[in-house]
Amino acid sequence: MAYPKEITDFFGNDLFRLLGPKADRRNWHSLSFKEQQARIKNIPIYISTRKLGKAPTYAQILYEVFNQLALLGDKNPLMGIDLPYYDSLGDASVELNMPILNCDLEDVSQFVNNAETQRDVFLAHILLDIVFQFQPGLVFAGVGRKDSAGRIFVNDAKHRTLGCMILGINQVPLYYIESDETYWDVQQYAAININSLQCSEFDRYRIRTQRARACITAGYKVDPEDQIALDMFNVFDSMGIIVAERGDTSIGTNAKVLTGIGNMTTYWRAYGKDIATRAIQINAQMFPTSMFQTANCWGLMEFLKHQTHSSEMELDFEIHKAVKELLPRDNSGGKLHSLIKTACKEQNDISSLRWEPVVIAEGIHQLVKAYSTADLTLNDVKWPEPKERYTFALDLVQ
Amino acid sequence: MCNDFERINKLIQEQKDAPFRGLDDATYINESVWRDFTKHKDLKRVRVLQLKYKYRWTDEQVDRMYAKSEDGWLDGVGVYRLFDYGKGENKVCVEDGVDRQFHEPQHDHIVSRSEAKALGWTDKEINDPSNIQYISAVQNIVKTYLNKEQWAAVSPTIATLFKG
Repeated sequence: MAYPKEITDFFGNDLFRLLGPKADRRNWHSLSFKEQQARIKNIPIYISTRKLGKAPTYAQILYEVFNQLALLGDKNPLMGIDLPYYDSLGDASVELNMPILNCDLEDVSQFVNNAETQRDVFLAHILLDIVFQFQPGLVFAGVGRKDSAGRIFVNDAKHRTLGCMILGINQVPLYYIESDETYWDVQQYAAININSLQCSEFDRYRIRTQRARACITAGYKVDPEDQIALDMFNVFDSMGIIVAERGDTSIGTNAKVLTGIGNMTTYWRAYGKDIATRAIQINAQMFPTSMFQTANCWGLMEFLKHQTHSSEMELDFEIHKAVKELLPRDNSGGKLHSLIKTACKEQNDISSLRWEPVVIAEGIHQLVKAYSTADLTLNDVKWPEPKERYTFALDLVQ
Repeated sequence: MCNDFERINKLIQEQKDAPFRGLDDATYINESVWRDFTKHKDLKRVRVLQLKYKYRWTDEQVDRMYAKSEDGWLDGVGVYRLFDYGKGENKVCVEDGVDRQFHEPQHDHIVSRSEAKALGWTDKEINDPSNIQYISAVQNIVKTYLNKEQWAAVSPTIATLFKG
């Protein structure tokens, strides 16, 4: 057996702790659709490996994954599943009677396109993401199929290859199998584009932040989108806000955990750094033991956008004070936007809202107006379609 | 101690006029009661709504209970004591003591639950507003330990137990 020693030491040579007794195991494909669905439901979407340190080995990561599954007990989706076992890729190729993947630098003159299985050309992607930001170390190996005539059907890396060709390069790295079966074209394409793990918004933010830092350290120009991620990181970091993957339950809910980083990035871009920073700070200070509510921030940004009060600091302080008078508990962050939205929906007899940030901003405006005693200049929020605007009054003690 | 009623009555009235403005479950039970409070601004009603959830009352029963509930009570020496209906942040008498017992309203079953059960009443009849009243905590203490006959026999003798 070639499982890492850490794995076999704990889970057993045949993964007894993870899969149960060998004799009781069944092949995944022998399960009914209903049985498969019941197990799929129990697969954790996300497993945090942050606690394993800065450079955990793959064996440590796999151990953590297996351990998390085993800890699910009766709900372990792999319990009783007969996983196939192969000594090597070569062994799997023989067992499954399928070709193996080769890897070489290949001449683009051999490359052809299977028009039935391939998409067309996204030119902006080639020019903006590849040609204008070309880095040889980022031309990853593509994937394809070489037929008996020597033609290579490229099933992944069409854009990378065309980008290289535009720059005069005529050899690119490629993984390929040797086969005349066009079946592999659609299989390779699907495996890469359908079955692969998509980059989540959290990952995008995390990678952009790291890349911005690396660029600054190396003295390179920082990509504007990376700069936004880094600016957001600095604000979150200063406020103790933890940005996490959606579905990551390892941090708990009793902290300023932000799982909607995709939305926050959109709002940051729409309202700009200054307003976004103020809104994030107000929200984090108001509800320090609450999940970070992006909807509150969205409404705050929309509200702040229209304000012209002479002292931003005073206005932010009064917003904080007014909201805390209505919602004194530090963990009631979720109530602010939900109270406002519920009042608006009920009083307008609607089940779904249009102009959500404007609605929340209007609620905040009413709240500050009612609960603040300071001499503030408060401007009304602006409805996108004034003739169809919602009219509602927030429930307040006045 | 229990002669601090003037100050306490004043504080209760002030709290009614300027109640806590926050949405807090310890003060307003839940979001629904809070919203009702923002419309009626009535702490007594909050207390009655608490019974609504406890006994699953209809709105009609809530209205009946509210209508019969007094704002305070007149004690045996002619002092009118306001009930401290507020909860949580609206509560005025926050420290245990004799004064608190004179102002704290408690809901009391007029015919006790055990007696009503023995008479064959249903839970719905036992917990109907017609069988519930607000009385002060100090009255409730006496009522808990003595029935009507015991009270009639013992109460005339109590004054003689005190010196002077």
